[in-house]
This record gives sequence, structure tokens and C-alpha cells, in this order.
Amino acid sequence: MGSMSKITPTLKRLFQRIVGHAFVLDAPEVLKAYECDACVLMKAQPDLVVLPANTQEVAQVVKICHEFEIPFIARGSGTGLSGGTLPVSGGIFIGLSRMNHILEIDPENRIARVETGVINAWLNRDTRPFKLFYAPDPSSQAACSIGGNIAENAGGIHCVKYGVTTDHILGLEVVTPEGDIVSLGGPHGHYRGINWVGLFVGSEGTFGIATQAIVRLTPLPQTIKVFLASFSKLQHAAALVADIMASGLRPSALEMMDDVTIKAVNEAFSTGFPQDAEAVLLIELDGHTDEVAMAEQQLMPLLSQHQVQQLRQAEDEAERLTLWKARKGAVAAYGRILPAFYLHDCVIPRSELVHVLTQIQAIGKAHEVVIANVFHAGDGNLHPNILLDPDDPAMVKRVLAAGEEILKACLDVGGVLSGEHGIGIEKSEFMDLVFTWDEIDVMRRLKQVFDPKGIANPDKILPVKSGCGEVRKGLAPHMLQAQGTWI
Amino acid sequence: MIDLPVSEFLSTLPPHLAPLKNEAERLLLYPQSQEDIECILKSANASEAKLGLSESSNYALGYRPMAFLSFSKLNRLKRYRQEELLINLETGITIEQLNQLLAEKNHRLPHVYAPSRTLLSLLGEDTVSLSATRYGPLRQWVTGLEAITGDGCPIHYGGEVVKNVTGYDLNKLFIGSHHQYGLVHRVILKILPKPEASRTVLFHLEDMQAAFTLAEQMAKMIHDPEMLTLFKLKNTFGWQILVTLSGYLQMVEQSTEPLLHVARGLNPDLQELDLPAKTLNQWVERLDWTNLKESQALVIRVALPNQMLFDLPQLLTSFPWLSGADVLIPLRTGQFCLRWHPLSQPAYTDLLAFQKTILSLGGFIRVLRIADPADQGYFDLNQEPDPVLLKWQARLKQQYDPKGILGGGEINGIP
Repeated sequence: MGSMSKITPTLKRLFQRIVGHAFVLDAPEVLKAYECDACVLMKAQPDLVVLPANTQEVAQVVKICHEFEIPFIARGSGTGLSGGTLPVSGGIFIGLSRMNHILEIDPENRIARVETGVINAWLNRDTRPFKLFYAPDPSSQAACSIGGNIAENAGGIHCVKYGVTTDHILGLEVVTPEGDIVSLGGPHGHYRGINWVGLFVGSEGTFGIATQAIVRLTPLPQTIKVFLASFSKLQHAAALVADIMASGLRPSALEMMDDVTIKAVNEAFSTGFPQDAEAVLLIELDGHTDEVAMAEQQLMPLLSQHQVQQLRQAEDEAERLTLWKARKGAVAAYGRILPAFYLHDCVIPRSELVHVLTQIQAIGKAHEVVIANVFHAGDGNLHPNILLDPDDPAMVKRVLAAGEEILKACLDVGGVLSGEHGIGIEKSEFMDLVFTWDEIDVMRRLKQVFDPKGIANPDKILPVKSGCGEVRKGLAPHMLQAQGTWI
Repeated sequence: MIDLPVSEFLSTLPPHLAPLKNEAERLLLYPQSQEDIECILKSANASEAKLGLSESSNYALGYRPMAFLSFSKLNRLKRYRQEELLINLETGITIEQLNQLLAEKNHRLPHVYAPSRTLLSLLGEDTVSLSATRYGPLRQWVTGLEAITGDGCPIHYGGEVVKNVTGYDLNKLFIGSHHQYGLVHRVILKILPKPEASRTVLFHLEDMQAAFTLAEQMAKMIHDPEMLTLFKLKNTFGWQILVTLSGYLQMVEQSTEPLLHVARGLNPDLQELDLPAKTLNQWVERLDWTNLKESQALVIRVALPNQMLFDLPQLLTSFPWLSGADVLIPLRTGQFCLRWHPLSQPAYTDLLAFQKTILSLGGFIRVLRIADPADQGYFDLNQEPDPVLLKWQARLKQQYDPKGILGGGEINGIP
């Protein structure tokens, strides 16, 4: 733990002077609460947690980190799924939970200015009276912060139509790893020659800390219709998804759930999804009322070509919200089957859905693990959840092996490692399956531009190549096994 | 730094890359593959020979390219994923060539650009299209690219998938940075099926205030226009508004009628209905001010929050010298452009004062083209004012083009 010894009593006092005694935390029971994000397979505790109240305090804290070469990691709500905030080299957490103010909503220009500790759902609550909304909506939106969304370039259910976080961030206030405060972009959404905002969004906190954001707001649609289609075969649903997207229809959401998920959410939410279905699709159309009506006309013939078992339209807003609640709560519902899960986030061409989903089923059988699929089908963004009991080492081993095979199956058809969860520590070991080492070096050079000392969220995204040309395979599992910290 | 003789650089290139001289006595190199670009960049690094792109015309003070690369032979279709609505292409392809390819399959790139432009030049500038009102910037339509960094390292990022956060977003490093850090030779773009209906209407209005009032009414009235652009050109009549509606036939028809009703209330005779595609293309070509053909003009882009664009009449009248400029405002894109021809261009000090006002409003200005090589000092206006960003810019250059092979200078005036 590289920097453990660096947090001296003097340094702790310095941090206390900046943010106040109450907001520097190092009690063991408190640090334990920060030992992992939502990717609970990996754990490591920070040496200290500092909770600043504003950008200036963040900058002062970072300046000290820079001077004493202390790794620092910005942390929002801890809902990340790739171990993106795991302090594997020690260091301090800079928690943004006190910086949670919506500073301005400007309905005329359709923008809002927020501190990055603001919870995603709060922003939508406050913009709704202006008939506007912030489009990126990860399933964790009731808990996740805008800052975390920026770090991971988060997506969500509606990004199939509205785009991911990077498409909705117009400007940022950033504390650089050298402790400077800088403004990137602006309310107009343009840049002066280098797209700093675009580079920063999705950099997983390794280029600095975003403390404020100017976000784009979108007019609420006049009409929303949600359809639930069930299928006796997963493959039929997958084929329909490919056809819908190839037709040019732009559903505002197109989500798939498999039979394991259907049963879990039915039990958890009494949703009433057809129990005998092997898959269901949730298809949402939104927009101008007439436009939605015409899109529906375009959709119906496609449905009839794909052996839909049952088709149901949400009768009213309450039913629509129930359906989405079930979708967003699916991962939590898996707890009824096994206590934990290991989740991948690959994206594949949508025309490969049938092929890859069939392979995933086969991989599950071969490794004797339960795989539950709930995912953003319209984007080709898979979320195979491999369920597990963390107290069963043999099962954990099978789960990891199955996970790696799924990843490779996705990459074989031209897929990528992650669509919205980020690389973090969890997938960094697989980066060389996608990029050459020269390409990884090009990325490493980018990191050096922003963070020459390598103190901003170190060890993330970029894998380490050993001297003999061997890849640092399986860092996270090895590290965790050594610490005995499986979940 | 003194450039080594041209012959030393050229002697390191294989025979099939032997340069040609154009009428301006420029040495032109025609790479035909990724390997060719890599070879040229590595040779240029070895002999410290500065390179330019034939698709880009303006360079910062002190930057004199020794040879120019033309991507005109790098214009091939590599893969057409119709079912994915993705197309994988070399970047030397022109918009006209691309549109032809797509039309065969009843597809289109929804961004409206001048037919003569290449993807390479559009990506270098991240050019805001007239249809960005609905479709956003071009960068949002790029799912992957291949490039060679200034120091000769080939890279790829993204792929034939529509969503990706695998590693740092290198698309954002190369798009819009004026080829300062590398040359993008291949790109994967999202495309769309052609809409069921599309209708373009052109309105003419003599009075500036009336034109802005109508444009604002239209912006409120029309649901999701594909294009809503207000402009004024020297030698044409007053102000004009170009509106394109597209989508389902019924929607287009429903939206057109109230639009015409409002316009007729202001001036019943001044409208052209159903602009044919050919005429629209001619207009688009005329309104593409960063095109090479526009090199004899000073062009600046002004970024401002959207709603402020409707207050432009006040701004334009408070700087009387702006009345001589051509004005182009693609509404709801957060920016507008101004253009002057050499005899009417403003003094540097006037532009400096204008820049201060724009900065105070939360925007910025950027010089995109200069009228004359002697005006290179205007690029100083692009100098990044923030010392942190200047430092990052210098580091980026050091990381990806340490010998300054890819000069340009349109970004920040740093050769």
C-alpha cells in the first residue's frame, strides 16, 4: 500500500484545516464503508476520506496530494461497477457528497449548472416543472451522482435515442491533478480547438476531478408508449431487436430480459411478466404524439414477423413506471437466486445478438453457472450477470472463467469491453485483447498530459506490461485472493 | 529550426510515393494506404520535414510545410454494415461520393455539408453542419476511427458498435484538433435511412429584426426541425431563413402549413417552397465558409448560448463595422459565423474588442480562415487564454508530435 505511510498526522491536520475536522474520516469502521463500489468482488480501503464543501477546498486538498505525491480518488456515490474507485495503491478519497447543489436551471437555453455530487434523479426531479429532463439515466439513477456519470461516461436505458453522458455535458469545472481550477467548454457546448470536455468525460477520474458541470437538458416528450413483448425463444427477441434498429426506428428504449431475470423480477415486483417466456422486450416510443403514432405503425409489422408470444401496452403512466421499476431493479432481484453476481458490459454489433446470446447460454451450461441477462438491446450493450455464492470458491472460479469466455465471444464479433461501466481495475487486464501495446502507450501518453505524477486515480484503465512482454493477467483476482477479500 | 533540404526527406520515401508538383509549385504526396501515411510521417520525423494537408489552407505564422499530403486516393469504402446502420470508410472520400454510396441503399448521413468537402477536413474541424440543430455535432456520429499519430504510431479506437467506453476516448483527441496530433485515415460513421419525407423552404426578409423575430417564432413552433438557419450574404437580398423538415410524411405536411401561415403574415410573397435537392446543395456549398474555396475570406466562428443568438440584432448594431459581414446562424447549435472578404475585413483591434464582449457573455470567438497569408496575426485571437490549457496543449503536442511535423496553427497559433 504505497502511500500508507505518507498520511502523517501533520498531513491529516492540513486536510482538517481545509475542510474542517468533521470532514476528515479515518476511523476503521468508517473506512470499511468505502472499501468497494458496487463491484463488490474487489475491495481495498483508502487511508483517509476527505469531504470538501466546494471547488476551492478540493483544489487545496489536491495541491497537498500533488506536493506529497499522495494518490487521490474522487468518489461520488460509490455505485460504479468496475472497481473504478478502488484505492489499490492506497491514498485518499475525495468524496463529493457535500457538493450536491443544483446551482442553476436555465430553461431558455435548456441547460443546468450543477455540482457534481448531485444525484442524477434529483436533477430530473427539479427540471421536470420546466418540462425538461437530463437524458442519461443509468439504472442506479436514484443513487448515482452526476460526477460518477461523467467519470464513467454513463449510459442508461434511454441513451439508445438520446445518447450517453458525453453528449449531454457542455462544460466542466475541473480541479487538475496539479491542484489548479480550470473551466472546460461552456454553455454553448463548443470548444476552442481541443475537445477538453470530450476527453475528460469517461476518463474515470484519472485526469482530475470535475466539481461542477453544465449539462444539456432535453424537452420532455409529449407522448410516451411502452410495449412489453414476450418470446418463447431468446433468439426471436434478439432477431427482432436487430430488425427494429436496422429499420431506422428510433425507440427511446429497447431493453431485453431473459427467463432468469423474468422470474426474479416477477417475484420481487409482482410485475406479471409471462412466466413461460424465454425473453421479454420492453420497447418505448416517445416524442410528438403524431410521431409516436406513426412509429407505432412502423413497429407493428416488425413485431408480427418475429413470433411474439404476447404483446401488451402499458395502459397508463403507473403501469409504465412499474415496468421500468422492474427493469431497473432487476439486478437487485437476483439476490433472490444467489447472493452476488459478476457483471460484464460488452457492446456488440446488434446483428450479432442472436449468435452471442446463444454462445452465452452455452458458456453458462459448460461452466455450470447461472447467467441472467438484462440489457440495453437497442445499443447491443450486453449485461450478462453471472450469479454466484462468494463463499463457494469453486463456483467463483467457474464464474471468472465463464466471464472471460463471454468477453472473448463478444470481442470475436467486433465487440468492445465496455459500453457504460468503464474499465476501472476490473477490466484493465483485458485491454490488450482490444488494443495493441502501442495503442495502450498512446493512451498512457494522454494520461501523462493531465497527470504527470500519476496520482489521480492510479492503476485504472491502463494495464501494466511486465518486462518480459507478459501481460499482468488477473491482477484483481490475484490481489483479492492474497487479501482474502472475496466480497 | 532550419528545415533540411526537401530532397533529403523525399529520398527516404519509396518510389510509389514520389511527389507531384501542382500549379502552385506545391509538392504533393498521395498516400494510398495506412502504411504509406506511416512511412511518410516516420520519414518526416527523421528529417524534421514539416507537412501540410492539401485539404487545409491556412497555417500559423512561421509554419511552412515542406510538402503536402493529399488524401484523394484514400477514398475507399471499407465496409458497409447496412443492418447496423454503420459505414466504414477512408477519410479522403468527399461528401458527394459518400452521399452517392448511401443513396444506393436508401441511407444518408443526416448532416448537411458541402458536397465538395472531404471527411478528413470535416473531422479536422469538427465542422458544425447546418443540420446540427437536430443531429448534434459530427463527432457524435463517429463510432470509431483509425489514425497515425504525428510521431508515426498507428492507432484505432472504437469500432462497429454504437456505444463504447473502452479506454480513453481517442476519437475526441483527433476530431476537431485540426490534424495537430495525427492524421485520421479511416472512420466509422452512424448513418440513417432516408426519411419518408423531406421539405426545404427558403424565406426572404429585408429587415433584420423581422427575420430574427420570424426565426424565433419558427424555433418555438416547429417540432424538431432538421435545419433552421438564418443568414445574410453580400450581394443577395436581405436576410434569409432556410428551413428543412423531415420525417414521416404526415408530420412534415402538418408542420409546414403553420410555418407558411406565420411567414405569410410577415410578407406573403417572399418564400420558395420545396427547394430541389440540387438547389439546396448549391446553397449549402455557398454557406460552407471553411471550405478551401473560401480561403480568400476572413471567417470567424462565435460560440454563444443558444437563446442569445436571438439577441444578435442588438450585438450586430452595437458594432457598426459588423454590418459589412456575411452572417450565418444555424439556430440551436450554440454558434454563428461571420465572414469578410479582403477589402471589407475589420481591423485586428476591432475584432479584439468584439472578442472581449463575447467572452463577457460566456462565449468565445475563433478565427477559422484568414483572407491573406499576411493576416496570420489574426490567429493570435485563437490563443488559449487559460495558462493551464496552454500547458496541456503544449504537452499534447510534445506527446504526439514532438518534432512539430504536423503544424497547422489554426488551433492556437503555436507553430
